[in-house]
Amino acid sequence: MLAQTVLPREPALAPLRVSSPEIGAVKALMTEDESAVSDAPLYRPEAAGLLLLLGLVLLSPKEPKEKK
Amino acid sequence: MPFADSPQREYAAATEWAAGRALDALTGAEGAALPAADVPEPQALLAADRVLGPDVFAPALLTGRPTPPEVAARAAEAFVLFPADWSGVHAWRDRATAELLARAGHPVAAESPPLPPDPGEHGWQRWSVLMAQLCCLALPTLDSPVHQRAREHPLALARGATRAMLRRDHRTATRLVRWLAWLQSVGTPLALELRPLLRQLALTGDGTARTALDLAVAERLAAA
Repeated sequence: MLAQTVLPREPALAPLRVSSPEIGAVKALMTEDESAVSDAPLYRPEAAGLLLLLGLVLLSPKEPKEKK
Repeated sequence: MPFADSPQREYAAATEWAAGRALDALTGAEGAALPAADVPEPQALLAADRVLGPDVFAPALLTGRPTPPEVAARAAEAFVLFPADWSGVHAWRDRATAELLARAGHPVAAESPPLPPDPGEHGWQRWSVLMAQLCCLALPTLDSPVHQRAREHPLALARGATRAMLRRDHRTATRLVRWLAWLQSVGTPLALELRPLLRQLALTGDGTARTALDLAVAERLAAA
């Protein structure tokens, strides 16, 4: 017997009336949207530019200071 | 398993249960003992069949074994209890369900939905999400203008699957990979390698029965 055939209760006994929230629930489950939030890192080219600028500033040669 | 004040929660749980049973039928995990307490209420079970839509018939379409008559009758009852919505995504799902019900000897009313959108209209991102919502149509022997759109735009589907993978949205990624597997099964060249995607999704799935069912269908289609 297929596992799909397991049906311990008779569906014909179900009340043949559904409310609009129930219909809305079924429709919402039919059309799941993509997840709203992604936890993947996003590509931010402007951030890369800022990092490059910061690195250049830090690595650039400093003016020699006079000895006191 | 009644949920007094939330049909959405109750129906979601019932859908998970029904997807699990369809997955069992598809993978041959038959005869498992099911605790009676876990079985959904009759109306929730009908709602679950309505949500699964064409996937109620997926085990039969993919294994060649006929759908049990009581399963087909329950799906027909669900279709009548929860009225069809001839607009947008629901319309195409309902049309496919109606076609499969008619094949199973339960003809139900079905109209012609509007033409499905093209990725050129709203961009491939939005279009691929729409196709993910319609992934239950990616089954053998089904054909419609939605399938024609998929055949015409394998690159947009591949982009959508890649985007979903990068977003770590495994549910959407699995649904789009199911379309890619269907494309491969009908001989359309893909822009992505399917095997690594299926392997990765099997490792990183979201743990729901619905996603597991989509993945199992995709694996069957890819092996066809």
